[in-house]
Amino acid sequence: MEDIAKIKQAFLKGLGGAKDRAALEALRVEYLGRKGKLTLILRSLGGMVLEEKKKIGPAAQALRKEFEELLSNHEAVAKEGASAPHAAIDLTAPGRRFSRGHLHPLTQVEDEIRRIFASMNFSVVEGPEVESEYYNFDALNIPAGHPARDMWDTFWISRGAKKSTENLLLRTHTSPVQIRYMEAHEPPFQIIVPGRTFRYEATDASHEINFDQLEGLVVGKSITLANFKFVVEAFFEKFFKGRKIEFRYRPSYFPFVEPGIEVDIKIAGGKWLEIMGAGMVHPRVFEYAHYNPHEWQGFAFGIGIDRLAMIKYRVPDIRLFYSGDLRFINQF
Amino acid sequence: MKFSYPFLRKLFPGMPPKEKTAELLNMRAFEVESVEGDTMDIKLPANLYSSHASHAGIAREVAAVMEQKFAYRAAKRDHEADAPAHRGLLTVRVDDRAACPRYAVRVFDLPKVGMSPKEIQRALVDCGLKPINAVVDIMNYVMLETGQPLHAFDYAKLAGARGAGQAKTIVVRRAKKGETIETLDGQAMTLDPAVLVIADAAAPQAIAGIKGGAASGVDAATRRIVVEAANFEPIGILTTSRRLKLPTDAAIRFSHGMSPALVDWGIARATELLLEAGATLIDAADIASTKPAEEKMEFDCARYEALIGAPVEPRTARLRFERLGFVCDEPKKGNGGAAKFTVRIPPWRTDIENMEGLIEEVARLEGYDTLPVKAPVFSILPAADDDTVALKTKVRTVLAHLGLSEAYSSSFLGPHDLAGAYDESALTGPENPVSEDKKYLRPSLIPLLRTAARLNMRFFDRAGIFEVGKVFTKEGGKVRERLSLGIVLAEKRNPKVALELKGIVEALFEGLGVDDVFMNEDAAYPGRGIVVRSDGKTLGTIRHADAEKQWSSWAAEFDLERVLTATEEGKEYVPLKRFPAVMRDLSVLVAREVRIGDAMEKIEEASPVLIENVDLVDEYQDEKLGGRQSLTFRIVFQADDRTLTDAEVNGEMEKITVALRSAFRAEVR
Repeated sequence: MEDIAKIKQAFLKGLGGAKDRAALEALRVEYLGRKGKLTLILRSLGGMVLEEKKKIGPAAQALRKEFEELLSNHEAVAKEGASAPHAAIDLTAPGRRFSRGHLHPLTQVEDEIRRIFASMNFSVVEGPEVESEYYNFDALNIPAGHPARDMWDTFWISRGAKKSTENLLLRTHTSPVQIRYMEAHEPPFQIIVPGRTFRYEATDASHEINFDQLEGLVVGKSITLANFKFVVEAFFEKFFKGRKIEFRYRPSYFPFVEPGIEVDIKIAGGKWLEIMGAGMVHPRVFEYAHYNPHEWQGFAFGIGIDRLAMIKYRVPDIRLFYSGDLRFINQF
Repeated sequence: MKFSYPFLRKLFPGMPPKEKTAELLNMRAFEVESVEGDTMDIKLPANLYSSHASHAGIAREVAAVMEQKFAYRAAKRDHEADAPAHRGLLTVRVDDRAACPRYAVRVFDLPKVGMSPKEIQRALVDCGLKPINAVVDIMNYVMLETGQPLHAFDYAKLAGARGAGQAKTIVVRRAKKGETIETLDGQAMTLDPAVLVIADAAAPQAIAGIKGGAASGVDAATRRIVVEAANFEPIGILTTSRRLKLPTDAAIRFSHGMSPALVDWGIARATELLLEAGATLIDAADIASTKPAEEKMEFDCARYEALIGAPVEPRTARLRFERLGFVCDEPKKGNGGAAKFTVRIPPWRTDIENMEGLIEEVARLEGYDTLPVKAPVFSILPAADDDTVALKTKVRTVLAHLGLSEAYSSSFLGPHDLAGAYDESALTGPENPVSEDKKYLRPSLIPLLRTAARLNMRFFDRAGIFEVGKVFTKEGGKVRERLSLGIVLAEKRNPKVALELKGIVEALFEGLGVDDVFMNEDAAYPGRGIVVRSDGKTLGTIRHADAEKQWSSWAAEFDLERVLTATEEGKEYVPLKRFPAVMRDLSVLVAREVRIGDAMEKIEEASPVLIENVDLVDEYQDEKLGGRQSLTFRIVFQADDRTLTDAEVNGEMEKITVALRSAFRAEVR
């Protein structure tokens, strides 16, 4: 054991005096080379009595490890600049560049919306983008031949040669999922439905032929319009956290709600922005979904996810969202 | 719909200034889209045409919002009594009673047809109509005031039935196939039985509810007119006006469903104005199928509170209704103590169909802003998201962690985007595409991601993009919609983009918890495609996409519904290895034809128990090696129960070299 302590002392002394890589290498050979001082001790372990071996073996092994580390650390410094071993790193130099992946701003906004509604115990459900005329219109109290259908400029799916009995279209809103969900689930419940929707219209800075919408539906025995105001205000206050939000509620008309409401918000004293259509679920919609309208009531609402993202990030043109341009996406 | 502010104020003198009027309507009724000059453009809800597509309707609304009295009367007195009922100047027949529930006419003699008064002309211009002559202008003016469309025929130009003496004939009937009409604005139209017409004894004189005919139009020489006020069934009018591309003011009103009761206002007001202009009423006829029954409903204040979340005073509710023209009984206490009262719905309010409709009238006039904000009591059934929702989130998160960015692209694309790679007969798309380059629904996410990659390679050395979205194909005549994941990786001067993408895909599935993912070369795309399978199911493919001078790209696409079924729920902890691993590098020379995947498989087979991992750390080919390539594998050995000795590892390495030698004639370097 004394040998080991001595060897360590001598090594450290040598290390302190080493000025360059050659000196370090000489030191390595002296202690750790094939005939190095420490190597010899390690080799001699085989000839020792068990008790001695148990004592010296681990100590010698540990020392070897320590020497190796000291040498390699010293080497690293020597590499940086042999002439100025204490020269500091220039911390004004740029950091190494890492590229990070970016989630699309609409995904981030949708995630945020979902997080807020999840905190109010809403479930997230989805539905098909190619929808039947029945779910998109009829069951939402928008019968064929009703001029209210003009509120939704529709892409009808071409049926080709094979005539199917059902007319298909690209859903003009996420509202058909209201019916689909109610058909399959018993109330009470709270759901939100994010998804892509389509309108046949000219594209410009604020209109796209496909865009993302979010539907909300709450059904219970005693859900009121005053409850709707609570949920919608809680949502926007969380979504635009830290900014002052004012609300305005105006009468509006959508055939699947009665009363129908339009919600405007004003952020930090700016302009009023039309942000959401909503209302109490029309009794006829409950009838289509085979709910008893005398037993159940609730509210529904729809928000444009694109529109929320445009407001939140101050994006001036909706088309940027669908450009696939990483110079845009990577800003988020 | 355009409204004239002076006209509104004439009907309701208490009308506040324009901007204030607009604000009141916005907050309590419906949206005023713009106010320009004297024109107010109102976005009238589709169910309020019968009640509000008129200046009388808007005036009543503003008065109700302002809590002021307003009673509209179309005429000071109805002159019908003055009209000798059927003097025999005209015979009227309605063949299609369902399409025309009410048809009223009056015949007038006129002194002469000049221009209408300035006030009428101004109102028409404010509403976007052109003044034509005194008679036509009165027809339009009365429509603007009452909502009831009217039409005037020149009596002299109508044909009577043979043998009926002097009498002229009017028939409301279906057009005969091939019949023609020239409309007042000079368009020649060929008709068919789907079109309802107003005909004389010989030919159609008007397209019912839509547009008058030129043949019987009123002009300066007209001295006797037939004024029509009728009601038509909405769907027929909507269909015909769309088909003939005649969205006239009358057609727009009728296609929204007008109350037949408006006919009374229209004909009375037209009569009054014509008499004021010097005309004489000389004959009248009115064919009504059935008088609409008076609608009554009970308004229940308790039900109001249950739906809205705030109480309403019975007296207040009653007053709100009365200002809108509803007639109410005295409120009574019901069984539960809450007040109820009977409400008679005025005939023009065709929108009120149920209790909720009545509640809406009171609630909006009370003001939604004044409504309290109340926390709901929700069910605490745990929220449960759709499985696909969770999967999409996970896919996005993992790929972003791997350094890829997410794109959203259009659901539509065109033949140019497909670059011949898809069978166009298997694609689906809208009947009414916006353009040729958006005629299909995307069958795959790859074409537009490739376009995006191409765009981005103008600005970046590397573009790793993905998208999660729906794709569409046609299968057996049906539209099939699938949830897809597309990834495109493009990079400059990197010959191994494919392997990088392959690595991303491996990491993705590991992150998703999909075990047993097998990647095999796609037999259909040797050297250019990989099929990714799990549990015997194809999850998707990795394929070569683009090769440019500067950069190349590969693309991967997966069916996420299949991935979902392959995803294992929950991971389980595997004890950490307690004994050290031993790492050895092995360099071999093999023929270039030898596949790296095969060699690695052979290595693993040769030492199936102790090998922990095999990786390729170096590969090169150069002329000195002749037809061979040098491959360096890094092999990690590890045992669960002991530290491996050199001798053991050497033995395993020997087995591996033997196996490589016999399988590929490998030479260890």
